[in-house]
Amino acid sequence: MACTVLLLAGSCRKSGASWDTDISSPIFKTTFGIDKLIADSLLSKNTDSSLTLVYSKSLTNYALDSLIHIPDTSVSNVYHLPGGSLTFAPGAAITPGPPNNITTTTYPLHGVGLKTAFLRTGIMHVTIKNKVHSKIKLNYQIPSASLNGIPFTITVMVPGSVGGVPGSYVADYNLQAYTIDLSGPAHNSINTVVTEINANIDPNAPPSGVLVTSADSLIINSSFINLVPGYAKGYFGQTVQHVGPSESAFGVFSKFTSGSLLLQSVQLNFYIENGIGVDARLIIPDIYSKNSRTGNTVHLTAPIINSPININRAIETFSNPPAITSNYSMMLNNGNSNIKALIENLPDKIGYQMNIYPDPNGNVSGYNDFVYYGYGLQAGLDLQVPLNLVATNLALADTVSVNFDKVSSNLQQLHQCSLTLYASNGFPLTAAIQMYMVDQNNRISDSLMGPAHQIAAAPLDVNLRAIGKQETVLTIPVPGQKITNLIHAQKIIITARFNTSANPNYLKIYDNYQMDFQLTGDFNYTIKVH
Amino acid sequence: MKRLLVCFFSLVAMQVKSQEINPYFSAPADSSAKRETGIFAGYSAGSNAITNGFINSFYLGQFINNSQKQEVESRLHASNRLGGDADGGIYYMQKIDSYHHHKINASWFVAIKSRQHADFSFSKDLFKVCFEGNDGYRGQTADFSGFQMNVMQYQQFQAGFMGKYFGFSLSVYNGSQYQMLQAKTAQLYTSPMGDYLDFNANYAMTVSNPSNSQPFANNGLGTGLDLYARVPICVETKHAGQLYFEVSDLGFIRWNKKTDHYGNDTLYHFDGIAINNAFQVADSSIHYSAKSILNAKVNSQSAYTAPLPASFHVCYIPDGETYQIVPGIRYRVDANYIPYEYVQVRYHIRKYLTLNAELGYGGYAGFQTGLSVQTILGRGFQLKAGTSNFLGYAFPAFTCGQGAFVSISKVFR
Repeated sequence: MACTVLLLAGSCRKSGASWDTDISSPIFKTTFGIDKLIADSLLSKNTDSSLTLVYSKSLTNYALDSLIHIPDTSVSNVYHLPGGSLTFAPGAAITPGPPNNITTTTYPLHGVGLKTAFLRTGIMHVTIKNKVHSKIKLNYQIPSASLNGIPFTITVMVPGSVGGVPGSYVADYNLQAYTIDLSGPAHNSINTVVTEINANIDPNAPPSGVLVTSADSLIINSSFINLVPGYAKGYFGQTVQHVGPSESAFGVFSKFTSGSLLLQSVQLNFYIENGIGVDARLIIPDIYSKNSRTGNTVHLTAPIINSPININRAIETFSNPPAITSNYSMMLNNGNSNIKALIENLPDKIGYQMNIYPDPNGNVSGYNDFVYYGYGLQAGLDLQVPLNLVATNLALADTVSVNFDKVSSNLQQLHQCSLTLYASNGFPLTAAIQMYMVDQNNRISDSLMGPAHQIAAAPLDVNLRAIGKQETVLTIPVPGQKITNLIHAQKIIITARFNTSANPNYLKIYDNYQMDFQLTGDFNYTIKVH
Repeated sequence: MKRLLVCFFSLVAMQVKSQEINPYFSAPADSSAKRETGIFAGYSAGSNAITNGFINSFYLGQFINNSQKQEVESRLHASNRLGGDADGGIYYMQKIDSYHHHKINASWFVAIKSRQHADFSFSKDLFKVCFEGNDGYRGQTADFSGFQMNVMQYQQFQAGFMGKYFGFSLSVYNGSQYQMLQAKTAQLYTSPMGDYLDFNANYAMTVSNPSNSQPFANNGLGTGLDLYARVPICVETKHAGQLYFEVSDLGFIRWNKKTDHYGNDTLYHFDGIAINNAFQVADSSIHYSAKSILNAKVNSQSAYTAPLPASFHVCYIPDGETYQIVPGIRYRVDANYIPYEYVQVRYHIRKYLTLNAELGYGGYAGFQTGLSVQTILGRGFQLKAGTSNFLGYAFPAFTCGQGAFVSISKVFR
């Protein structure tokens, strides 16, 4: 019965009790500085504490691997032994002597003629098959390849043929750090490697000797794999390097969605640094900025466009650093280009196209072009935009995906609320903040702020520099319908529309400008206990 | 906070008067019985501020309207109390002379009971913030200091001796659930503009193993003593009667080493969730600027000994054939309880029918108007039923305190 009473008492309880409350609470706070808009790494502080946007963009890095590519190559040497049957004494030579045991291999390098190369990487893969019924002592040399002055040489014992199955030897040899003379035996060739082979009957073979027939042979395959020079010298040819057409992201203004930004000045330094011992000519058909949101494209009009730019070769020092780069630069500004319009387009992409012509005058160096690993021909842009500007309805926006499913029951208990935004603005900009709710059909279903909700700009001194901060208090009523729309929102778009406060005067942005926000709420909320 | 409120009211809504937890201590209606067995259950809830209507709405899951809140607020004092018990069980009792055929008028008994107890002490501000919100406290500090909560659920295995002039029992307790919170200091300041909150807390909280919370869970063991004595006074005078002394639940429960202990003395300042970059709102850019007291980390885990809310009861029972006027006083230790003083009128209508009416003040509530009946139903069945405050059911919106109990027993001659 006791249990029955308790169960009955419990069963009377249908659901949690509820009651209305009026709750006052801060919700969030944040501080907005220019560093929240533009990464610190892109901002430079001037002597007067005003800020300059600094942006660098590399257009190309034309380096050793673009100039020279050595294909993997295999060399096969087959030595058929003398006709008839002969008996060789232990240690007797079975390959011919010089020059018949010397092989030269010339690499096809497509217009590139190398005299010398220093290998960063390289493997020699050797496969030897011995059909003689005795071990063979084999000496393999690359006289033109040396490490610390010592030519490459290996001596191996190759097993003899047993039961008709040739003896074999397989091994890899590291050629890293070898210097290779590619000028051939007479030093008048290019791209040529010399190898030399000597084979002898095993000195420990039976004293009666080894019978060798005409069917016996010695087959030597050597493959040169992954030869990558760290330094090369010769003539590098005239193969044109095409860069682009290409577009790359320009994220500086990616959050701006509309409005206009007038800049007092913009400077763009176009530079070339040539660390290769090759004369070069560059032609830049096009550089442009593209604003994907507006579809507007601005092409650069400047002396560097479609005009050949010749740059001298680097100077080889034979010390450290091994090369002195040859430099070229041209400063583009409001006076000699439309670079200001290019940036005021608020681009999110930069497009460019460039052609590089090495050795435009041919082999004028007499095979003395050179290139070191890590040294190339680089071209790029250095952009400097002093933040001295006029903003007109310049809008920033960010879209946040939201999912209030988990808290929708809590939000449904919120009948109405009144939000208060406290803004303390240190920028000489007025700001109109808005928050749009986007429904499942990707349509804006509602907005939070009214049209009169605007944050006042900080006051200016005679030098048009903001002094202190301007306080603004915005009261934002949020009736029940807006709360319902918020519950059903899939995304929220936060926008801020800025106007400089002294138009048409340009205003500098200083590094100490900040805007502080705090949002508080008064909620009429039904508490439910479960 | 919601969990606290649920604890606060759900358990209080199933409370019982302690004098009904040992129904066999009272003199049996049929004194010729040699054996008796019975079941009993009941609850009582009491508060000096919170009305029965408010508690009923809370427990029944109804909407608590403004008039209910205002009725409570009109009764709130600086410090308020709320508490009670819910109990049920079975017992068996046998006269010792039924073995020996000598009338020594003594019995032994055993009982098994399910017990729940809760008591709270809370400030006016705590109630108002919980049920009205903090908006009315802009520029002010809501003071919750002195808040106390004791909630216990346990099972009792009892065996004892009952004589004409004294009786006692020993009990073993299985501790199921225990929550204790004491806030020496707890203050919530709401700034005039609502742009920040300061919560100053110095509290200690103990919770029995939260991962073992099923009914009748074993999270602790304890022992206790109940006893009574009847002292005849003024014998052979017109004031002849008995002084009745009773002590119940004089014991403790040792909660096991998986008991969590929390405690902190901290000022929590909250001025909003810090967003690093409002234009890149993501979890990684959001930093909470205040900790939640409800998410406080467990400071330690260790065994803990908690006393039971022992009660002491004294009354004078005059001799009388038709009616008796019984004055008494009851007190509970460490339970936010004030002495309950009462006068009970026992009217013996017939040999096996007694009506009791009681007027009292104190305990968890204020004035109480109890009414009960004790009768023999036939075939050896006895019934005791009543309420600790019948006005609490008649006028729930304006009264504090309620309770009901019932006990059915079978006697064997």
